[in-house]
Formats: sequence, C-alpha cells, structure tokens
Amino acid sequence: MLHRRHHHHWLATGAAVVAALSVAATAEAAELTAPAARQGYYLGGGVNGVAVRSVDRDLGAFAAAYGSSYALRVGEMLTPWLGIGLEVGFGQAQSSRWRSQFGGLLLDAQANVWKNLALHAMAGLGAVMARDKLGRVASAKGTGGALYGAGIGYDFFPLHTEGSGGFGITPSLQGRYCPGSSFHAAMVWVGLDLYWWRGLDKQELELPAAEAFTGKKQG
Amino acid sequence: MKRAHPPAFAALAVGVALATQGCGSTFDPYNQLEGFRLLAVRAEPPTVAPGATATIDALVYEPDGPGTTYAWSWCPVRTGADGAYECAMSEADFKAELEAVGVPVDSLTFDLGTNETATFAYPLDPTILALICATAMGPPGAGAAGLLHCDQGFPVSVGLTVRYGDKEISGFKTLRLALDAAAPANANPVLTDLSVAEAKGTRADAAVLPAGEPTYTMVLGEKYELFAEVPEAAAETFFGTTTTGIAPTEQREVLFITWFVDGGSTAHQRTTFFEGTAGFDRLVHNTWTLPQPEELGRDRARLVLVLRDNRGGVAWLRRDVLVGRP
Amino acid sequence: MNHSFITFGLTAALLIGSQARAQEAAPTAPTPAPAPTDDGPAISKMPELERFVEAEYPARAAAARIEAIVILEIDINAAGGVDAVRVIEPAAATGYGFDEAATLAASKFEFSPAEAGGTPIPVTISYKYGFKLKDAPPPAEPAPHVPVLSFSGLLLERGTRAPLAGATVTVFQGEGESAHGLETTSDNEGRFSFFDLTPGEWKVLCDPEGYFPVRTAETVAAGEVVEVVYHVEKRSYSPFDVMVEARRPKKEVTRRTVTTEEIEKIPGTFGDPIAVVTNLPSVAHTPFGSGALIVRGSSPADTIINVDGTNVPYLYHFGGIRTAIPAGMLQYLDFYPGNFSPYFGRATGGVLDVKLKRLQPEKANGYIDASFLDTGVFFSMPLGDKAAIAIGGRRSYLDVLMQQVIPKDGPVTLTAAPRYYDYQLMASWRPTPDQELSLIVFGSDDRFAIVFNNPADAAGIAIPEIKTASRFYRGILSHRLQLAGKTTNELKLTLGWDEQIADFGPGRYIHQDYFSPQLRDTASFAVADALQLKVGLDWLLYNATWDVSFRRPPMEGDSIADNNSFDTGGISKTKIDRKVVSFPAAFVEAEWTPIPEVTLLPGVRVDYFDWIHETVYDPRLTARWRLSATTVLKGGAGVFHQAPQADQVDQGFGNPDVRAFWAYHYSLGAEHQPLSFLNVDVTAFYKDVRDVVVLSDALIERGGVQVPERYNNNGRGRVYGMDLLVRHEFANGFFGWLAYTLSRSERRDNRSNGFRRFDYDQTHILTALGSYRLPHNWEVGGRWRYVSGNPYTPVVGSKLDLDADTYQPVTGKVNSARLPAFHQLDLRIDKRFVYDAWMLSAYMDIQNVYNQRHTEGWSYNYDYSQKSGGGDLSFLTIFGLRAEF
Repeated sequence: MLHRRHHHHWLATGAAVVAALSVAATAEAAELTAPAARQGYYLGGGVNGVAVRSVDRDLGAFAAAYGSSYALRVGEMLTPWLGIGLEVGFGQAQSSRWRSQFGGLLLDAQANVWKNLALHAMAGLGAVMARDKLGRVASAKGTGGALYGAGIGYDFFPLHTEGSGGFGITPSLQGRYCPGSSFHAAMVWVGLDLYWWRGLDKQELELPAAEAFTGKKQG
Repeated sequence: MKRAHPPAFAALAVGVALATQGCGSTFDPYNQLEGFRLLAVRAEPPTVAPGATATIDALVYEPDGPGTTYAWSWCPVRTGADGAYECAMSEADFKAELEAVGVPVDSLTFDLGTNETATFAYPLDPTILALICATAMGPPGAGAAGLLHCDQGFPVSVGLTVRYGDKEISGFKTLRLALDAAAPANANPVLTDLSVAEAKGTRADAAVLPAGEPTYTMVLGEKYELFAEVPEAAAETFFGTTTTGIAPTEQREVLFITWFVDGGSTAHQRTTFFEGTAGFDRLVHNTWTLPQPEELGRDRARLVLVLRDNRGGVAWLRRDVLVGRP
Repeated sequence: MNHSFITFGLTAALLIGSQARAQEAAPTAPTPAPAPTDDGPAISKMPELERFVEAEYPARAAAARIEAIVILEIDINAAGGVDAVRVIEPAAATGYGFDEAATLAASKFEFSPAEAGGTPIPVTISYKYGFKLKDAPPPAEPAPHVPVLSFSGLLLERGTRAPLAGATVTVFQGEGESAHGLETTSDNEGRFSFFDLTPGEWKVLCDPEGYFPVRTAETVAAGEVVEVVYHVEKRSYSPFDVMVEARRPKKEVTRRTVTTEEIEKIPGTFGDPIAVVTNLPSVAHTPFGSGALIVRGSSPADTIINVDGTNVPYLYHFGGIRTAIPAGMLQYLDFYPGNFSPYFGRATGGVLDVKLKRLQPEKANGYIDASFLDTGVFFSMPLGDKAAIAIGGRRSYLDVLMQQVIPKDGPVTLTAAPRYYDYQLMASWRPTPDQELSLIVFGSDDRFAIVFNNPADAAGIAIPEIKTASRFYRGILSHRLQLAGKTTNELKLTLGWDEQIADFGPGRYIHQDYFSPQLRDTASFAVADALQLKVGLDWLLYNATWDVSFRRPPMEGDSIADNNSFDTGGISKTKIDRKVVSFPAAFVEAEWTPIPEVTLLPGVRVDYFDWIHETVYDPRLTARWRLSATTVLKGGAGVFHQAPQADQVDQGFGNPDVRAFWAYHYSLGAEHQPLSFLNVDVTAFYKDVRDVVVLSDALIERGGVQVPERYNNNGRGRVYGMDLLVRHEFANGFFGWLAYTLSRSERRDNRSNGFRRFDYDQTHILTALGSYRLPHNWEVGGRWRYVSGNPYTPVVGSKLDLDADTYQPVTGKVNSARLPAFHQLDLRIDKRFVYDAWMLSAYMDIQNVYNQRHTEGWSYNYDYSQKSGGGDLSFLTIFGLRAEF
C-alpha cells in the first residue's frame, strides 16, 4: 500500500535512466504500433459506376440497367488487418424500359490481406425499386429488406511520407445482392473513393523519444 | 391466486394484426366472388312464432350457370369446433329424450328436404322449450357461459349443404323460436336499392341500378361510389341480451353489409352500423374499383349485397352491370 | 577537499559515559542508551577515543553554508576497534550526505577499549558528530531547506474518472548517457508530486500496466508550480475486466446465473433481461415479443418471476415488448428450471429471480440510453460513507413512430398511441458493517387505445375499439443483518399495487385492481459444524377488486377455432369488491454436509391457499456430491404445488371447486470443469404434473341447478428430457455458451384421448452464442439458434357460420401436426468511444442475418382451404446509443 510521503529516488547515473527507459520501451514495443497510413478511423466517399440485374417473379428477368451511385463510408481499423464500419449508399440505373433506384445501409467488415489490399463483406438493410418508363406496368416493382455485399479495394497513398494516417485514393469493385420473395436484384459497383485516415493516437504509436515526448496527442 | 391473462398484450396483438390487415395479405379477400359460393341463408320470418312456419332460402353464386343441389336439416343444439359443428345429438337420441318425458314426437324430423327452399314448422310446445331454457341457463348472477340465451327466442340451428360440380360447402344458421307469441319479434332488415355514382360522387348524383338485365355501363379500371338503400327503421330497437350475454338492456341492432363483387376490389369488405360508433352513412356507402381490362374476360360484372342484423335477420340484392374498356 | 572547516568531535561520549552500555553477544537494534545497570557487568573504565577521523564535509552543504549534527551509535569491540556504526538521529538537513559522511568517518575511529573489572569488553556508545563551518556566523543552526514543489499532477482513468493509484511517474531530461531524472508513485487519490526540479523542459513518462503510456513534456519555471491532470486510457474498456469473480457456492441442482454485463451483450435481445433467459437450456422459444417463459413443458403461468425475492405478476410492458426494469438496474439474474429451494413456492414450473444492483457507488455516475424503442436515464451517487441513492426512468416513443406509420384513413384510428414508461428509485444505507437497509421503488405505466373504423371489416370480429391501460407499483423495504458465524437474517416488506383496464366496446371489458402487501423473513444460522438451517416466512396478501365481462382467457391446448373470434365461447361476467385473499407460507431448509464432499439440502414448505381453502405440503431434497476438484454429481426430487388461476376459480368465470395442482420434479446431473473458465453441466429431468386445471364441457349440478363445469382437475402432464450447458466464462477476450435441450412434453386433458403433445413441445432447442472483444473497444457477438417447430392443431375443413358471415375451421387431433423447424443467426456489434470524463457506446443488433423465413404459425384464407406461413419478423436492424459517466 502506498503512503503519502514523497519518495524521492536520486538516480545516480544517466545510464540508469536510459536503462529504465529502455526497459519501458521494450514493454511498449510489444504493444505499440508502428505508424502507417492505413490506421485509425476512416471516413471516405466516392462515386461508382453501377450495373444492375433484376428478376421479377411475374415479369421475368429485366435487361441489365446501367447507372451510377454514391457511397459514404465510415469506420475504424481494429487491428492492422481487421476493420469494421458502416456504409451508406444510394444510386440509380436505367435500361431502355426500366428506371431503378436503390439504396442501403450496410455493416462492413474488411480484412487487409496484403499490403493495402482489402476484402470486404457486408450485410445490412437495402431496397431496390424499379419503375416502368413505358407505363405498361402501373405499379413499381421492387423489394426491401436484407442486402448483402462483397468487395475488394486497394488503397493508394500518394501524399503520405511518414506518420500515422493520411489521405488515400481507393479504386474498388463491389457486388451486391438484394433478395426478396417476388423481386430480387444483383448489382456490380466499380468506383473510386477518397479516404481520410485519422491515424492512431500518439499514445498507441511506437515513436522515437524525440517525437514521443511532446505535448501533442496525435502521432 | 394467479391473475387472469394480462389482456393488454392480447389487445395489442389483435390491434396490430387488424391494423396491418391490408398489408402483405396474400390471399384473395372474402368478398371476391370466384368459383362457387354460398353467400347467405334467409328465414322469413327469422323468429318463428308458436305454431307458425318459416320459409328458408339460400343465396348462391354459380359461376357456370345453375346446377346446385341442396340438403337442408335442422338441429336443436349444434356443437362447436371440436365437434366439427355437427348436431350435438342425433335425431333418434333427441326423440328418445323427449319420449322419456312424455312429449309426442311422431312428426318430428331433422330433415328439411332437398329443394331449393325449405319449410320449417315450429316443432315443439313452447312451454317445453321454456323449460329447457330455464334449466340450462344456470343460477342468476352466475353469468351464462354461452350455453343458451333465450330472451330472443329458443335458438335452433338450420344446416345446409350445397353441392355444385365437385365443390361442397356446409353452413349453419340460427333460427329463433319465440316462446311468447305476443312478444315483439325480429324482422328481416330491408335492402331495397343500390345506386352508383362516378368516383367521388354523392348519393344525389347516383343512378339506381335496376334489377334483372343490366343497363348501366361502367368503365374498367375506374372507381365508382356505391350507395345502398336501407331505411333507418331496419335497425330495430329491442330489449334483451344479444349472443354476447350482456344483461338485458334496450339496444339498437347492429347491421352490417357484405359487398361481394366478382371482379376488382372494394374499399371495404363489410360496412357496419353500430350505434354510437359507426353511423348509417358508413353502412350504406362503399367504393368499387373495377378490374383492369386484361383481368376480366366478360362484358358484365355482378354485385351482391347481403345485409344482416345481429339477431339472425338477412336481406340481399343482386345487381349486374355492363363493363367496357376505357 | 576543502579544509576551511573545523571538525570537532564531542567526546561528550565520556560525559555521556553513563550512557555507555556493554554489548550483548548479539547486537540489537539501536536504542537510546539506557542505564547500564540493567545490562551486563558493571563498567569500570569507559572507552576513550584515541584516533579521531575527520569526515569529508559534503561540498553542496558547504557551498550552501549548511551545518549539521548527526547522532550515531558506535559498537566498540574489546580491541578498541569499531564494529558497527548506526545513525540514531540523522542530520536535520537531509539529502546532503551528512549521515553518510559521519558514518564513514566514525567507522574508522580507534578507541581504547572499555573495561569491566580489568578485562576489556565490547561496548556500544552514542556519539554526536557535528559539522560546523569555520567562518559561519555564529548563529543558530542554518535554516533547514524545505523542498520546493515544482510539478504536481493527478492521474485519472479516462472515461471513468477513477484515480490511478500506485502508478510510477518518471520525469527526465537529456538523452543517452547524460539522461537524468526522478521517479515517484501516485497515491490512493492518484496524486503525484516532484520537488526541486530545475527550470526547463522535462519529459514525463507514465506507463502503468494495462494502459496506454502517457508520454509528454512539461516546462518547469522557477517560482511556479506546474499542475496537470493526465487522463490515462485503458487498453480495453470491456466491462468484463472489472467483473468481480466471486462465485457463489452452488447448492441447487440447477441454477443458471447471467450477469448484467452478459445480458447487455447477447444479440437479438436488446439488452432485455427476461429475453436473455430464453437462451438458456430448458426454456422454449416463443415468438417475438410474447414475453412468456415456458420452462420444461410448463405453461407461462406456472413460472414465477421475482424481483429480489418479491413476487411480481408480470414484468413486461404490453405483455412482451420490454421488461419494466432496465438492465442497468440489475446486477444479475438467477434462473431455476426446476427443483428449486423451498424459499420459492406457488409455482410448478421454474423460477426467475432478478437481483437488483447493490448500490455501492464510489462516486456519482449514470447513463443515458437511447434505442429505437425508448430512451432511459439512470443516476446514482453516494451519500456520505454509508449510504447511496439511485434513480432511473424510461419512456417509449413507439407512439410517435406508429402515428407516422398507420395511414390516416385506414381501418384503424389511434386514439391513444401505445406508450409506456417506467421509473425506479433505489436507496441503501449501511448503519453498521453488519447491517444493510435498502429501499427500492419501481413502477410502470402502459397505455394504448385504437378505434376500428369498420368494426365488422375483419372477419368475425364485431368490436368497435380497444382501449387498455396497465399500471403497477412496487415498494420493497429490506433489512439484512449479518451476525457472527454464519447467522444472517433478511426481512423484506413489499407493498404493491396493480391496475389493469381493458375495454373492447360495450359489454366487453376487464377491470382489475390489486393491492398486494408481502412480508418475507428468512433467517439462516449454523446449528452444528456441518449443519446450517434456513427458516423463513412468506406471506402474500391480495386485496382485489374486479369487474370483468369478457370471454374466458386462452388456455394451453386451444386451437385456432377456440381463439378465432372474440365472440366464440360467449361472455362471462364477474364482480369482486375489495376481497382479501391470503397466501401465508413457511419453509425450513437444512444444509447438511455429513462428509466434506457431500451436501444435502432437505427442506419442506407449507402453503395455505386461502382462495380455495387448501393447505399443501412441499417436501424437497437436493443433493450434491463432489467427486473431484472438477466434477460434481447432483440430483434432486421434490413436490411443487400451485394454486389455480383466479379466473379458473371465480364463480362467474370458472369453477369454485377447482383444487390446487402439483408436480413432482426429479433431476439428476453432473457438472464438470475441464478448464478454469469452462463449465459443462448436464441434467436429466422428469416432471409429473397432476391435477392440472383443464377446460371441461361437462354439465354438473351445483345448488340443485345444472351449470357448466367449465374447469376441472382432470388434466395431467408429463415432461422428460435432458439439458446441456457448456459455458465459457470471460477469458481470452471471449465469453459464450452452448445450450441444448432435448425433451418431450405431453398433456392429457378432457378433450384428448390419452396424452397429446404440449403446445410448446419443442424436441430440440439449440442456442450457441458468444461475444468476442476486439481491439479499440469493439465487441462482436453472435447467436445461432435451432429450434424444432411447435406442434399445432391442423385444420381439416371448414363450415360457414351464416350468422356471423364467416367460415369456422374444423380441427383435427390436438397438436398432431408440427410446424417446420426454425433457425436464425443474429449479430451484434458494440463500439465504445472513450472521452476524458465520459464514454459513449453505440451498438447495432442485426436479427436473422441470412434472412431465413420462419413459420411461427399459419394464416389461412377465408375458408381455410389455403394456408401460408409467417408470423415472425425477418431481418431487423436495431441501433442504440448509451452515454455513461
């Protein structure tokens, strides 16, 4: 148990201090991470080109529709190779006969399998609705409910030199599937996203002493 | 002592179920006429006085022309679900019971024939029926548990089995036997006319549909307002309990109309008059959306309205209309 | 060495010669020299200092003009040499090295030895060694230097504001070989201080075990004190890290405990404590929101729910949406699927005992919890050293949501959208360490009203409206006394009030009102070494007022035909005004350990059911046999009585001659603990339920009149099976369990010919769930369930009811068909954001991840010729947020 009295300990030589610090440093080294670009929270958004294929129970398969979509993604890297986040995306596509609109909110888990290459698996809520441009079918066809997806992307960090976090550009490829009893749709998204990686806090990073012992919070 | 079931949840479940009834229902609605149907059975009069007879007829929907066969019967007490709604005791047993107490039963039979209409004669001495009522109702204040409620007359059940092609439907209807000839008896309600107006129209704009051959033309895919002609007096005021066993009070009959159509859909399957909650204007008005041109392959459509009160009274009317493409 | 000083030694030793003392053979710790006559032989000659050694004057002190006196104790041996030197009174000015210099010099002194009777002997003397400056102004002693505070700080844990005690803080300057610094440790309140730091920039390092390191730099200025607060972040904020591992000793055959931390992490339950119980073995799966606990083939009314030992008739809002007590108020819950102690009674099924938090907050804390259903708040704080108080409340906004969803001219009008709220107040006081007084007040209020715009639109139902309002309050005052040995006494007085109002149009209503006080006293004491006795009284009273006009409540075994419409079966009426019904009970339970490995718990409970004038006796026995350190064999047998439900006995609704029913419970099982965090528990059970109250269509004679019997005791139940629970306690970042139940439950009633399947006879019930802690305060959890479908009564035809204008189903043999099996995967993600003084947790709960369509029941078309499945919600995603400080 600790008592209130001040306990001073005059350390005889600088070597002892260094020794103390190096002991602390080895304990840190086991748990602190080296700074890299792809760390911490991420916030990103981008534009995608979309191809949609829908099947209706009564009307059969529709012709492929093409269009675009926007997506906003936010999340965090938990370990250097595992990250979790949310994605909100919406878009529209058209074929000669049908105009479709779709959107969704997904939970996204990513695995950083090699350098900056990440594989994604997603599940969440989504809806697809298609309207007949020619007016032959009065009511809209569509479905809402579950939405599943899978994707792959590679992050480039052209401006990054050192430190934790930074801005990146990510080309990505995603597939999505929205099931339903009377209508279901499958989509392919190809896009380019811009990300900002916040990086880890200084307290989690392995840094040389000169950088570590400053008053800043970020790495 | 454990308490009775918390009613709140049951209520909420019912409420939610009913509120969402419109959404996601995958079955054809009850009031859609497709295939052979038995729609109503009417007894005139619905409450039979001692010594009198009642004429019973049925309303059927025959999509492919006439060809229905009928089998009528009656039964003093009918079982419920666990007895498959069959008669609680056979004719032989019933006669044996009555003979045991010295009641003449030679002319008594449950069979009412196989004609399109049936004739039902008051079967027993009203004092015997009154005695059965008294012993079966239980001590006062105990609350009758749905066994027998005789204030509107002794209830018997008329059964009908109809066959049309390979389809068979069995139904049953309550017929009341008045215990006191002098007491006011129920009368069948009156449904005289049906008028039609275009969408959002009022009764003033409506044209009366004639019975028999149709003359009015409707456009496929359009909405029409329907107005039934029911006099307010058809909702009689009476003193008594209803089948729900409330203590006898003076109350007004509840009326409801079931609107059957053989194409398209109606805004309401049934409309109600319930004093204090739903007025007469609610009872007599409905909206019919005719089917799309490709869905109906005929040049005419049929409406059948069945009006009931909650004491066994029935009335109906049938009207046909011509339909054309837009 | 600077010789500008004079050292002089006071040979006051000779003056203080009387203080010399002969040395004992074993030198003791230095003490002030006592009178020599007490110790050893008389001294004839004192030792004399022959050779004085000058100490080196500490340079820093000389520069600072500081003088000192050091009092030493010197052991002189028989040859006159110095054996040992000790500092009895150090120099007033510390840190200059006076003591060390004096000690060093004195160790080189040479004495002529002391003599006793002519023989040289070893002695110990006190010696005053002074350091005096030559030119010093004669004064009094130089003022002692007071250390100057340069840098002071407070270490708090980020998010919880808890102080970090015992953490090492280092300040240093320079690098490599020339680095120098100081180190200190934080105290109980997290404070640390550094003195006499030279002005300039100092690097600060604090790296406690389990936390992220604090590495920063502070600038010290002369004449100023730098004050800081460091919020140190823990590596993981999983609540499991602070869970106390204290395991209560197991006495029962089967008791399953789930803590609040686990409750909040199980997916698919929205943190609802009672929904969590359905993930344990021996509990059947019920459709979403039904709120019923079906334990080992018992009806929901056969299982009781207690809050801190007090009976609560129901604990749900609207029968199943949400528990009326938030998870934040609970500590843990205990669930007994059968063979429970005589402490609990009036039930033949199982017991769920919900334990509220024991308030012991060190500081004020609380939370705000928002989800898609409701928002709740909680706040607790200590009142001095011995007392604490907490309040909480919650309100739903389902009403706001529903008003948006229900169309304006649809079939219903919401006159009062469904809303609920609940509130809790807790206070505790420990006047002495062996007593605790606590007060808990909680209440709940639900309300809902809709009007049907076309009452007859839906087949068969001719009710114009539904209006319900439910309220209950409970106040529990309890006193716990812990005396010497293992004697304890717990006294509990509960006052409760329940009100339920439901209206379904004219002539159909249920109005109930209960005032229920309950008194419980349980005393436990040791009779002998291996025998502990527990004696208790449990007195429950109801003062009931009823006014009911409604159809009979649904019963187990009812088919769709029975429950088809509100009109079926007719209406019954009853009215009771302020009737007092009493349920006194007493029990005795012994805990006997004849040999250390065997524990036997025989007990008996006596209940009197006032309403039906019946006294019942429940003897029960539980036995546990510890085969090894990791394996226990257990078994139990007992009788469990239960009174019939109020409406079954009521004159207007039921049969006043109905008696109590009872069950025999038998269980046999084993527990094995292969690893410290892994537990395997297998139990086989058999239950025989007699005199079950069942529906009757018979007519009997009562008071000379033929009346419908309505209910009788001809029913019988039979349940057998086994349940398995493999439980992984929190270790290596993971917790979870696998629960499997294999069972068969059957009933026999007046309608069935022999035994038929119970309504909830689910042959297989498998639940596998787990939660894993990821870095950065993320947690991921999942649950997979597989359940056999429920039996149902098939519809084999239909008849047209021409009066009601609806088809009535004709049913086949009761429960002779089975619904398809059900399986579902749920996922839960939690993330905690930690800030200096508070934390924010966000969670997302996804139900039915692979979108499996379930059939919880059939819905039929109007003439029962077609059916389709459905009835459960598929793929649902729920978000929630909690801010806690």
